[in-house]
Amino acid sequence: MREVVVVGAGLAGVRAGESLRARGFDGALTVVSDERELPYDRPPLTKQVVTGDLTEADIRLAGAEDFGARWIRGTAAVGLDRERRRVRLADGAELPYDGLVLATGAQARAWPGVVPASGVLTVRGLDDVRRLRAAVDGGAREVVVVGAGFVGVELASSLTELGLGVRVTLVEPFARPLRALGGAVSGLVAGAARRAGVVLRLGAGVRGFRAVGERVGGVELADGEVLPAELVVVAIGMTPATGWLAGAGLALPSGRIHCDERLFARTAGAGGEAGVPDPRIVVAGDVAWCDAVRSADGPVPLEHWSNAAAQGELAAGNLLAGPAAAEPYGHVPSFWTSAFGLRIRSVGLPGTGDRVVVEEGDPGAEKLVEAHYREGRLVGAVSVNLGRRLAEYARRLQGERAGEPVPGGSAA
Amino acid sequence: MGQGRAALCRSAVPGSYGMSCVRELGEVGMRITVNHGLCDGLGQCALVAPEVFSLDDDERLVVAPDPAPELAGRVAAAARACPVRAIAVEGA
Repeated sequence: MREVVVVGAGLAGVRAGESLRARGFDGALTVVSDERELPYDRPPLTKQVVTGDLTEADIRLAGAEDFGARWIRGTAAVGLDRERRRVRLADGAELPYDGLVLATGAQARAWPGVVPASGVLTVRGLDDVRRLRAAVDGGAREVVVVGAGFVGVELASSLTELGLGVRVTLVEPFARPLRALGGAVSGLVAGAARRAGVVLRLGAGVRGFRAVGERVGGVELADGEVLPAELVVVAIGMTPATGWLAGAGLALPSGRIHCDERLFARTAGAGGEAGVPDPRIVVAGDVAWCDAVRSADGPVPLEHWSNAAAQGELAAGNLLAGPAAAEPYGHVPSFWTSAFGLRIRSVGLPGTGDRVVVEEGDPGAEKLVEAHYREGRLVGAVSVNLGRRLAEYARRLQGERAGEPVPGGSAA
Repeated sequence: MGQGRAALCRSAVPGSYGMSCVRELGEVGMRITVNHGLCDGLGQCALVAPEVFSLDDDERLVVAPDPAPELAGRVAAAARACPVRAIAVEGA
């Protein structure tokens, strides 16, 4: 393998590049990114970068400049020709490859309707956080965050922490914030958010936005109530960045790239089924829909730091090794977030369970571990301010997957 | 069983600045350095190499003394799994 192209310069792409070199690849390596920024880490964006505790320089991905790649920044990949083994770029250039790493990540999901010309943001990248801070520093004090998932909750927390008198209203169509994490955890988050001064509007759908001239002036709820707003952050999930792969002949379930257990991209087979893997293309990070990451219902997409890091590393190794010698992806999913003084960790796929049990600690003390089971089998665990036990749950999850009995692994 | 040369390494308050904790390990073993100023107690290392890294009740990182040489690969992987790059390993 002489030429490898990595599309995407987030964590997954950078880890893939580092890993290729660490495993002795000394051919030509090109990294393509539609962002002009130097590679950076995303988890601090909604937390310490908003609050100013970390600077832009602090979140640069260390080592990204050190692995001897040609960098093409600010130029999107717009097409893939698998037969000729070429990636086409927005400026018309074509990059030939022997091996290709697809790590294009995702974009913030845009509001599916009309929005005022200014004052409505999504947050995914560094540029978005700059705009958010500029709006707040420019005087916006009435902020409505639409969506109480991780991004929405973290931003609500960070904005209240600023100490600038920002009034935050968090609107969520479902009844609970961070609902995938289970009842006790959601309740703790809701309570802590209220104590921090956030107005929670749970079970409230959003119909649209009111404008004052060009700017947003309010958020109209489904029942007709209008919440005043000088700034709105729409945090309703993400959309995988795979539009450029239309017509490339890859399987793209829900817009993500379907890859096999060894992270090779699966081709689009007959009748909409995923077909055989392409041995020259591997997939890593938020964009992947991987056969190795699954619940009882099938593959589950992961949008987590640790998954991007682990997949980037393994994808590169497997690309060099080839399908016959490639290793399956065995990473136990893990995730962390913090908001309103709660430090939340998870392992496995807690959102896929049918029963949640508080197994340690006390919700009243804001310290607990909740285990998630599906038909009696452990599928995930979440801790609040009590991360000590999670390694044990991760080990049990590894055992469940391997189908081996794990000592002490029976459901409590 | 190796006898730990140093006392158990513990960080101060998670996320606070403090001295790095350097552990010398055996004659030919690994040397693990944790920058407790960076460590935020996220515990990702403990998922990868629980024999060596763990969190205490306050989510502070604890590094076990004298990891067996055969854990070198896992310790290196744990360092790579650290989101804030607080772990450095020599001799792994």
